[in-house]
Amino acid sequence: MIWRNFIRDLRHTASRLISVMIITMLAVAVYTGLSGIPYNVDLICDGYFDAQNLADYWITGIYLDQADCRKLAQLSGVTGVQPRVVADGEKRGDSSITLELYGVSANPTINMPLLSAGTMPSSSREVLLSELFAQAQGISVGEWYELTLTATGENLRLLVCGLVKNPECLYHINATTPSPDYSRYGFAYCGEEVLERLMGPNRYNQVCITVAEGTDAPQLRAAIEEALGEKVVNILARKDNARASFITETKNNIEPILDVFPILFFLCAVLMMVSTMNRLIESARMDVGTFKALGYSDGTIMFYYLLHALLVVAAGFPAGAFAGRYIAALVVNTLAIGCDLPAYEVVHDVSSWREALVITTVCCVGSAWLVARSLLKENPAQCMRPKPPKAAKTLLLERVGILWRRLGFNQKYIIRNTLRNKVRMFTCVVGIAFCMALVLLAFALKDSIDHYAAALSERQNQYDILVDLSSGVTEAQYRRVARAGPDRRAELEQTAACWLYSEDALCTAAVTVAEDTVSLHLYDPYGPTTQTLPADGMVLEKALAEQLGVTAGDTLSVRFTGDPRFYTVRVARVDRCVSGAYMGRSFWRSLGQTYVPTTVYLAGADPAALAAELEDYDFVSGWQTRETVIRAILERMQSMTMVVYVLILFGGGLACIVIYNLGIMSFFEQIRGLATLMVLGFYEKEIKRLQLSENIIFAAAGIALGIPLGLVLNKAIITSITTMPLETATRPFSLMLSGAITMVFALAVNVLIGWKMRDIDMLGALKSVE
Amino acid sequence: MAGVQLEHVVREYVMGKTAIRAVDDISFTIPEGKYTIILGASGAGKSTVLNILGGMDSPTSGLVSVNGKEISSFNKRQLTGYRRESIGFVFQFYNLMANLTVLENVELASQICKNPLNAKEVLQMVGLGDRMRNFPAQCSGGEQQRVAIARALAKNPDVLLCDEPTGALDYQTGKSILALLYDLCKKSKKTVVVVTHNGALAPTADVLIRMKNGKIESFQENPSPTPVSQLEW
Repeated sequence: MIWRNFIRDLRHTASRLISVMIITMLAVAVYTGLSGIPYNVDLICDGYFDAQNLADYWITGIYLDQADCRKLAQLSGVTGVQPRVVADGEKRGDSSITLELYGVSANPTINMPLLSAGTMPSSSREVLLSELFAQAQGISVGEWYELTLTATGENLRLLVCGLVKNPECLYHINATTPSPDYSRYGFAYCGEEVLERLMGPNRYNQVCITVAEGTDAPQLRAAIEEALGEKVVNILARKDNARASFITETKNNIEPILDVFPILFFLCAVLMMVSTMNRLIESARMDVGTFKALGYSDGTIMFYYLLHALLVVAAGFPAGAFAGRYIAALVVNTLAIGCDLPAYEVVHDVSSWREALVITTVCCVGSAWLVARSLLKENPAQCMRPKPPKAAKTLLLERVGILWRRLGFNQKYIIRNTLRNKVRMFTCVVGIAFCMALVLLAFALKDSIDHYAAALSERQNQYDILVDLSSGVTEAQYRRVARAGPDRRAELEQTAACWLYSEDALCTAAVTVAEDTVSLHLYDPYGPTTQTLPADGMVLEKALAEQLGVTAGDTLSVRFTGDPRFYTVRVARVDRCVSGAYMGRSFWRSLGQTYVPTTVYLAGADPAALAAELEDYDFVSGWQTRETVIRAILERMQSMTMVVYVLILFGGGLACIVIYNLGIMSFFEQIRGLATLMVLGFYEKEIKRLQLSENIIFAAAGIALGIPLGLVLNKAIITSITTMPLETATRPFSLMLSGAITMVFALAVNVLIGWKMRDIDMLGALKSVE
Repeated sequence: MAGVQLEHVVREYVMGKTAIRAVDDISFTIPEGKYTIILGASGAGKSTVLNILGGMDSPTSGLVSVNGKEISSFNKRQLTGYRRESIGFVFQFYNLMANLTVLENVELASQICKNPLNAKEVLQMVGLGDRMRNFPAQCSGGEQQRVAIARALAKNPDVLLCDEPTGALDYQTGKSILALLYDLCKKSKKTVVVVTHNGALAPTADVLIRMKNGKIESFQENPSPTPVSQLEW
């Protein structure tokens, strides 16, 4: 019979149980969904990379040969070596369509192309084309493709034998194609003999290696340097290879947010679970007493109440875990935009299920167990008596007679009611504050991302055209492009690679040598429109400085690629916004380095004329407009924005259900008082005003508390956790919008509770024993 | 017509497919200013009658008139207005607002009426002049019921309805509450209707209505009621 009572009991507690089930579901959905994002990205990428045996390092060099490969194979930690020739090509007769050609042996073992259609090349006349490039160009297997090698001008006519994907070209970009555009830029695989005229037979310009897990990167780099000597031009690690690691890098950028948000969600959900289960069981204290008096064992009674909590977990958890996969899929699919991935499926992150299940069960069942246990400790007679009322106290405010007397009756009623039940007030205010903070945090993050995107697109890039110069450009050549005039401005930039040595750390970094004073391409997107680089040292990326354990004013030993000498360089400034190391041209020259710019930024009254002029220079390997660069930046921000939208949606959803839960709990707790007011002849709207103004006060207090909480969380996330150089840029509009959303939810819940008030059975509510 | 008048009043509750008649075609008239007791065992329908008189419930059929107002045809809003202006209700379990002081509980009712009595004076009248600033939890059961009566009186209602007002009180306290209600009735010339199952109270009523199974078993007018103080049970 007790279980029949249980079923009927559920009917009375349904609205409260359902709300806590939804809270559980949302928390589990967000937890498993957001955890599922890095899990799936790793799963997809690792699976793809492992299957195609993606290289761990790309060693670019001059005239590398089999002897060099053997040396590399003998290095500690190296597990595979794959030499190849890499060359740039363009469609014959159309220099705007370019592609990267990989000349490899018949059966490559590293960076193996994934065949989508056709067959692997069986002769030197055959080529494998990028599947997406072929689609964009309208080329099919079996057709002939004619191209010209950029370096030599040699024309090739090759039979397309297959279409492929390639993990190292996952996000296929280069200096002039900042976001994948297969109508302009693709890749192809051919036999190494096809490209042997570039380097000579059995000569290569790149060796890809794989290494054992745990291989020490600085030691390996040093060993490669030692083994190959001056032949080494560059050693690119997988994590620094933007094309291969784009998706994992983007995932790393958003991962701190993915870590923090579910915790906040769970904190809020746990607060709600604990308070709801507490209040549900506490309200059933007389039933507990009755069961005990009838002789039911403590175990049975305990199980009776734990079953409520188990039901919440049993209904909320699977729904949340199921929904989690779709949240993960939404974000993973956004992350994958532009990535040439094989077909993938976003799967459930079962390990996060376990964690979420443990947390929800512990919180929900644990809180039910604690309350039920404390009730079971009382004897049946104590339980059956209503809980003694709390000693009423005169409020501090009442002692301020002048103020208290000025308050209307309703205000006094509300103030007393609000302050009387401090636990309810605390739960409501903190619950709403959490929700407000979550919504505000999401909006504030979006503001920071928008601010960063705007800074990058509108402030950092002031040029009209970015020109990519061919390697080995002469001073006379670059001066022709970079000449300034009354309606033309130009800035040069050189990028190189370097090793940075501090007392106990070694890092590799890209070094950018800019003009001493820059205004067309700013290194700090938030800084002034004209920025001067220090004359006595370099600007170091904050993350890099932390890795090296240095601060501004310290010195580092620096070695530049292709130069065996060490230089002592002062860290003049540490900046979150720069990537790698930055220095001015004069300082670079003061180190005795040769200045060979790789990029020119041009601005002029007539950008079209500037672009047309570039066609005449054979030392220009490509160019792109500012708009193209900005579009690429914004595209890369897309996944971050999608995460934020998910957070806004779920933060808002959680806020809505939390406010509903709190409102409905308060309603049930005060139903007797409300019925009394009805009997006394209060009109519905007067009762609503009294009851609901309390909810509004709680909502307002929650919003007020949520604002600093949200801002502090936002600051903590953007300044210390994310790797992106975001700045706090919360707009007042976002504050107002978050507050308005929370308040709208509170008002909507009031409307719902208002409807419920109509159903109050005056007689029934007043008959129940106090 | 002044006073309370019921004509062929029926109140049915439909439970699934069964209809239960809590009040079965009753008619009676209580003249204005009479101290009336509705007596009956549990389930006799006396509380249902009181609820209908108090505008907390409506009859399924029949006519109910209180001081000339035909409340049986009132809609929900009109019933609220009726409870607000014409009725004072005293419950068995007091139903006081725990967060309001004694005085504020009385003001809670008086502030919504057109012609309320002074809350402090009413509290003095029920003997709680020195407990005004206390909270209900700081008062005894008898004191709490006095607060409830003061709250009902402060509205200056036409009719005071009391549902088992001594049900939760001990003998002496119960007696003092009944004496208070009787005195108020006599002094203020207001109609007081008390519902009880305690037959010993019958001699105190000006009008005694006995109910059984939803019907009027007897209707008696008592020209010389016994004062409550002389009653023993």
